Amino acid sequence: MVVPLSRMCEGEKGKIRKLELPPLTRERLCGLGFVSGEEIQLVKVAPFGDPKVFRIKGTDITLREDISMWILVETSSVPLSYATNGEYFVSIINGGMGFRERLRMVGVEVGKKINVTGNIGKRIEINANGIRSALSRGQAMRIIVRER
Amino acid sequence: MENHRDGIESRESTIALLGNPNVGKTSIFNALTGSRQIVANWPGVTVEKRAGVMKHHNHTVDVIDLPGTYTLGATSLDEKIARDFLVNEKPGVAMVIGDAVNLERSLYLLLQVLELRGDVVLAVNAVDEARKAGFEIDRNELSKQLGIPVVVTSAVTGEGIEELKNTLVKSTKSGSHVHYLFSDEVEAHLRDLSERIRGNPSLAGIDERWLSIKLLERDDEVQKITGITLDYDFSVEIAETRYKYIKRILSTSVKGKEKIGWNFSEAIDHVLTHRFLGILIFLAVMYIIFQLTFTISGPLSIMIEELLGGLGRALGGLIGIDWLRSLVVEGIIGGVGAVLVFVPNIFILFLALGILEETGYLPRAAFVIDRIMYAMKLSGRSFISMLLGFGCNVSSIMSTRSISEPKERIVTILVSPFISCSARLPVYVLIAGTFFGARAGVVIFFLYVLSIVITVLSALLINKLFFKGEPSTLIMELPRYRKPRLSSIILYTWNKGRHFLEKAGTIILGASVVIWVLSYFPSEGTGSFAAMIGKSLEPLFIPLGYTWEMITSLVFGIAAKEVIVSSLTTFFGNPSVTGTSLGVIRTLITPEVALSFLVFVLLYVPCMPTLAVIKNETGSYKYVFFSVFYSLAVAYIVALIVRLVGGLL
Repeated sequence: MVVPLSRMCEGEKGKIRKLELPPLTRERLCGLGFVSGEEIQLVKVAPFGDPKVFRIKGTDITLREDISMWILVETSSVPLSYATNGEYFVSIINGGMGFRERLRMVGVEVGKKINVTGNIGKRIEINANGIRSALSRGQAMRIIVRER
Repeated sequence: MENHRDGIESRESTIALLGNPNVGKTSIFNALTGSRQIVANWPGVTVEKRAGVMKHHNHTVDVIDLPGTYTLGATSLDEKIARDFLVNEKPGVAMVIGDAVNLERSLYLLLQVLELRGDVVLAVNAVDEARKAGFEIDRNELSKQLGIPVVVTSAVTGEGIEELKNTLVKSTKSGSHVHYLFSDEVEAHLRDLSERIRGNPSLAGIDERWLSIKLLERDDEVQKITGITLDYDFSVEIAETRYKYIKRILSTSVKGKEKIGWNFSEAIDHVLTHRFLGILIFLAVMYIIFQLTFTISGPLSIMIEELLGGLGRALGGLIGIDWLRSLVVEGIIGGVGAVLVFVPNIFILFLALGILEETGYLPRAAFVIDRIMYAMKLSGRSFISMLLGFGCNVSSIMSTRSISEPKERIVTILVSPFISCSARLPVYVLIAGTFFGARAGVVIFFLYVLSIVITVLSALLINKLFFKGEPSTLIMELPRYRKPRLSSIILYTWNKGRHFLEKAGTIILGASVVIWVLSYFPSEGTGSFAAMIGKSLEPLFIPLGYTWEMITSLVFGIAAKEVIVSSLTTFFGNPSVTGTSLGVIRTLITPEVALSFLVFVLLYVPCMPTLAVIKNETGSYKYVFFSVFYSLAVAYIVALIVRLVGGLL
């Protein structure tokens, strides 16, 4: 799916599709390797959530949300919170040991298959390995899934 | 062609150095020129221009270090300078310095230079790091593919430098040649445009194909000089074609793949830019720098002070004529001495900043702190400039040149003078020491906090006033960490710090003599011209309660803030002991007036050199006048509030 660069999660990779930016900014970014088809990865998020560091052509470039939201990337993975009903693989879990452990208890582990069954209000219902559970949007935001 | 270049010792054509930022361009420049370099400004703008001379066998060649750029567009002042130099000055040799670890991006710049001219030399630097990372560069293949000389170098180990020098002096003139073709559609446009440009005599000597490519990229400047404006834009397609060509070259000329796993840079970054640790480390680094600046320099400053005191006494004893003795001892040694005492401070500050810059920490600091700066509609990049302002506002304003966003640059330039520069510190030390004794430290801390508060508020206000509150953008590379090299740090410190010595020898020397004349004639003390100036301004300062001596010192202080100290000591002090005894002033004003005076010194009109740099950097007197009147108003209001509130306590 195509998402703005700013929507990617830590560690996630994607391919640049389009830069919807004014010519000057676009030219500067071109010089840094931001051209369509190029692979880009979100490496790090700054202490207050913005800016973010992206790795492209082997170098780390810092961009703020005001630019990264206008760069569209093709990515096969999405945060669980944006996932529509269907089957997915868990590719990244952003969180500490505690968070991972709690997810493991409900069958959510990296590499495992999960099923999104519903999207009720602020909660996302999933079925993982036969265990049904509801995750908050905040939690779901930290789980990156890949379409089958 | 080569023969006339091999002549006996003669000044030959110029070599221009180009390269992405952080590829070790400055290290190569240092390696080529040694210490034979001068740092000046580019005409019209205060972008640092580094020029040097390379001596090799019997050749003497000028070397110009152009600002680091990613493209040859004109998206920032740095890029514009580099490009204008190539187009207008036509240096004999253009050398692009590439990064062996990240050749792809370096080649993007190289291709843009090759579109403009054919005689380019490529130096692939940091080849030692590339080997460590596990890949090998086939220079012969690169050279064959690009049709230009290629040398692999390492500024750290010295590898390839001799060969690079040989290549540079031997490089021959050649016209630009076409390396790769764009799509048929673009090529057809290029042919048409070249045809139209060829007829224009004012563009003779500039490659038509290059101009045409720039037109298709909708380059503002080229549209202006050619008078052609197109309503279509091929910039994306052109960039993609260049990258495709680069990929093809690299597929045959670079072997091996980067090792996967944690490398050194990433490991350090994990800590230094960590969500929580990052901020703590940042604050710790800032604290350490300022501690170092002030503690190490303390004893050195005292040494200089004593040395000058001794010199003053010795010369005083030798000179028989009263007025001449007064001029030399009180005027020149006293005045210039007050500034010289400060030299250790400044050099240590630049040494610390040099280390931070060399290692690559500064951009990380900017990254960590960016969100906070964003609230001020600025970026972490301008934070670095402001940080430099604690050393000297001139260097802080000069460093704004690498801020590519013009709005942000202007705002940073205009608020920088509110950052309490090191020249103001002697005034704080002197006055706070006289009035607040043991609590002087607290007072000085308050002044620094106030300096930051006023800077933040002014940034918001100026942004609203001039730019309707639009925030700026941030596109910043986080370079690999590097081991700092002593020689380059020393060169950095010297190049930046000697500005102060020059200032002491020129502006401050001149100001000291003028001040002495004004305070000695027609009669010393209350009958002097200085007293007249101060007294004539006294009515304006009644609400603040300053004496005419203080007002006069403020007037003189516009020349350079340190001059306030030297003039106060001339008026109140005992000239044989530089800047320590100001007893008389305690009987004249109250502590809250003293505090308000310090606030006034902190905030009022930027010094002459700073105003000159503001003019140069913004290119407009509008901002200079704004700076003068705005800071005067702020200083007056805040100083008045301090006095009134202080009076109540």
